[in-house]
Amino acid sequence: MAQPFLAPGIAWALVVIFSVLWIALGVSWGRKGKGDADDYMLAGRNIGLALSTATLMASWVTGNTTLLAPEFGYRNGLWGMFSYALAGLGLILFAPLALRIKQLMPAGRTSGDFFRLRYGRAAWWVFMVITAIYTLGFLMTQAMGAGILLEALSGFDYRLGMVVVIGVSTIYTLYGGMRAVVGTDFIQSLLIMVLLVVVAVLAFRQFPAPEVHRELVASHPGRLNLLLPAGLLIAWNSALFSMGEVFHNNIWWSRVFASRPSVVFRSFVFGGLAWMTVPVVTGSIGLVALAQAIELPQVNMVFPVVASQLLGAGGAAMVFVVVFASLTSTLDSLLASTADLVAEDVVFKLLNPQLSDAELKRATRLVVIGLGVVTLALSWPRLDSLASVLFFTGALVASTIWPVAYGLYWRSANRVAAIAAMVAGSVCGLLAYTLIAPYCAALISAAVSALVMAVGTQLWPESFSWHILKEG
Amino acid sequence: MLAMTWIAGSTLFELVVVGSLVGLILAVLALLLIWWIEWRRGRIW
Repeated sequence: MAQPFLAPGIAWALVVIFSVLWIALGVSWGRKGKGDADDYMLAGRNIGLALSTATLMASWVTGNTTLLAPEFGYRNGLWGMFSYALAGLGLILFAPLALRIKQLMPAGRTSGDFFRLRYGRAAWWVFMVITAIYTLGFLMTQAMGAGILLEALSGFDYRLGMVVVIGVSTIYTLYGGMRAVVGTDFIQSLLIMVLLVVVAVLAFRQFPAPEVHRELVASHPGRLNLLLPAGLLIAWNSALFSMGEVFHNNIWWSRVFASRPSVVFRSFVFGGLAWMTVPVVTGSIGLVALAQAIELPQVNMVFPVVASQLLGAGGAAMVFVVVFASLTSTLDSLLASTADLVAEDVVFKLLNPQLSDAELKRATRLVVIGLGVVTLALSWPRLDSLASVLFFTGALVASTIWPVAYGLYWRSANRVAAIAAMVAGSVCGLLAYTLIAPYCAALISAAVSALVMAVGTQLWPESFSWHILKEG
Repeated sequence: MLAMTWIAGSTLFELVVVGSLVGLILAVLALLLIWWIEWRRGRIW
């Protein structure tokens, strides 16, 4: 195994400090509020602009954003950074829809509520299959990423690192619910942003941007080419993939329901814009490594390598904290919002509509534990290639963009067309993934889904009553 | 096939690097300012 960047003693100290901090704060914030199911699942539905924006930022900054984006910069140059940054469009373009959701579904709890009430139970099943595949893949990549990254950064055993990150996220989500998630996300997002700024400023003080540019022009001019055709295609696919992720997944819908109506629109726009700077900053670190011909044991380790080579043990410690905060802030959001979805849509609305408020809260807590255990079990065997496999879910999630958008704005949106759009979009996207290229999957899926939704609604218009969504 | 090329100049490259850093710093400051205003008004949660 390659030499870790950080001494295990320092790594353990950081893990203990931040684990205790997250759990203590999470449990403490969880005691606020009325203590009913709505409070546990949606933090009292009244969070302000600061927490709402920060939780969007923190949830969208995954382990990949801090480690894969520098690799994109290193491998593909400016277009690699820009294409990764375009994933922030998913949040920005969801802003008007978020406001519409808040107006149409003041009592809603999940994205599943929307599909069931707007398009019926059959469409809900299709949506649940898509979101289950995507969410499990997302949970597993974060869990495996935790094990792999902590091993590379600090020499922790793969399974130990995974158990620590999942264990800590599960404990404070279990005790504090959405309040714990949103509160810790605020601190985690600030930590991530501040430490990234420090690492980048110190790196560019040692190797100023003009010097990096001069070296790139001399040795890797292709990385500075702004007319890279593949770059344009990857960028559009990245934007559509992120739209599919945000438009359908309950992580983002739960933030809409949890936020105060007056801040919903602004938090998605501000969160998306702020997030877009992160892959560009981390991607530019990849270009520093390339320009300085820094030797890399693995290309996805470019960020920790640059930080530790340029800034010593302090740099490695900062990267460790950034990665730990990124992983826990994404995992807690996934656990909380997926538990909300399973408890509300499956346990309550499908299996036992007579459930009391206290029983619903207990069910949500049990699902949080269950998800933590399932994630651990599925991620126990290490699969290094899983991150690339996750990209195939782009074909699935991009097929939900138009059914969601049509369903929120067009009274005439046809429910059979919504089902056909999701199925046809997913199938064609998967075919494109296999037969053409992975970065075409989301593009083809969204295009086919749009066509089916538009034609179906035009030929067989329905007349939906918006007040049905208020029941959510 | 004619390969399309437009190499980003030094100024544009610096603009990308400095711009993203300034954006990130402004995001931190804005987030803290909003939090402080909401905290004073008791409107955090």
